Amino acid sequence: MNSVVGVLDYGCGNLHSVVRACAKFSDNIEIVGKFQQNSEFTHIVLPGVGSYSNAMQEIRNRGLDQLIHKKLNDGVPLLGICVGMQVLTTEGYENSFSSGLDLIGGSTEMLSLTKSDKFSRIPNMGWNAVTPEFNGDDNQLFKGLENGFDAYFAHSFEVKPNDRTDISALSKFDGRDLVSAVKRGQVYGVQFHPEKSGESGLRVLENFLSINTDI
Amino acid sequence: MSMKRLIARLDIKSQNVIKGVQMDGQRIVGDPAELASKYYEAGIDEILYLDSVASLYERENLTATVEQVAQSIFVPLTVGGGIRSLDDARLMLRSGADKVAMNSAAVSNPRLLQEVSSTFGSQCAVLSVEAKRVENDWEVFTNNGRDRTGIFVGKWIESAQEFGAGEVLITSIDRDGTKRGLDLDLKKLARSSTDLPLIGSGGIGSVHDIYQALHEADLDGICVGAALHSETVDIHQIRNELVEHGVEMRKVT
Repeated sequence: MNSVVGVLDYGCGNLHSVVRACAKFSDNIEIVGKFQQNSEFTHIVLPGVGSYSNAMQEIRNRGLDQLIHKKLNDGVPLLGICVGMQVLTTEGYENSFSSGLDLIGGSTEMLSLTKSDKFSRIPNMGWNAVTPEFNGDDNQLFKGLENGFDAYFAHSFEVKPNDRTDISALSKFDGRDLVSAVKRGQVYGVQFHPEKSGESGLRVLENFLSINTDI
Repeated sequence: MSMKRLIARLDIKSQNVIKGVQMDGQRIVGDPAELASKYYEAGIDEILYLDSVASLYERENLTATVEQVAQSIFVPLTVGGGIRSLDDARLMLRSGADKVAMNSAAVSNPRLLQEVSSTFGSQCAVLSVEAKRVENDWEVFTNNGRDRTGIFVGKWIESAQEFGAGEVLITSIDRDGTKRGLDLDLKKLARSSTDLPLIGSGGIGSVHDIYQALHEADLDGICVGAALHSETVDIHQIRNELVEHGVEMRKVT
């Protein structure tokens, strides 16, 4: 069946970049700014730039958290991008504590720099290699992409899942591993920006939008 | 760690990409959307639009260009020129820019950096510094190299980082458009003034210039303008030669 993509709008800056990139693979994209009882989405995308606490506040104000929970119950897959991935965690620490969507157990914390690698900086801004971790669970998001494909990152915070099996891809930052993607059931998150990662990024979005749903 | 970024710099005036020498005597070199698409197809890592006039009327044109370009370009796009308020920044971001670069407005109102950074995240607040050599230091200039500010580069970058800038673009006005290589002393000064990602601009004429600047001034990215427009260098060749010299670059397939 054809996909109907709901891109959640909570006032973040780069919503339209995500919409334009998804539009390459779906004719049916809706920008969703509030809770809807009857929605036909087959896929939900939660874009994001900005801060964890602002994002969560706006998501709650607009009832989008309820929409996410409802659609996940219906079996619809969700893709969180950058801050959209970070708010999937239980809680975030940015200036102050803030509770998240709690779909991936764990926390979002500020990047720290020991300078063991002189090329790493905060914000972590630029292209980094992404290595998918398959963990036995075939991850459709990275189908057809080589191990170590390059993607564009722009962030100062990172996701630390409690359960290692929720990690679906790793990258390097400051000489150590950085969680660059998570997956738990039909909840997916990527720290990089697939809408800004050239052809590899578009492939990630295409893969997400071709995940079959039995709705 | 992030790889070194190769950024196409498109200076814009009246809906055209223009290029001059030392920000003067500009000639039309092409169409903003066409050149951006061409460089995207060739594997550029990022695109930078800087509108050198950015009157109110011109900003509306720029917004339309950004909207058009964002349809077909899936790498980061930074837009500068005429970003004077939080609303200007919001409009550019909503049109499809990923980052906004601020020079004149940041000098007259550094709080703008803070507002943009706290609203949209520091990763989209780029401080653009345009500097000229003045005796033994570098002075910050605004309004396309016309106005002196009395502010010096090192101190300005340090304070802009405190105000929340997430990236610094440092342009040498003296070298702009000359293809004589970057002003390495200026880049080193900028590097010693901040830990933020630092992009160097103004003077690239060869792959050697890029390698030298990355290597000696520890820059995170390099802008190429005149040398790309005139096809003195090409993106494939730059990437291949840098990789041969051990620079980590994005793999473009």
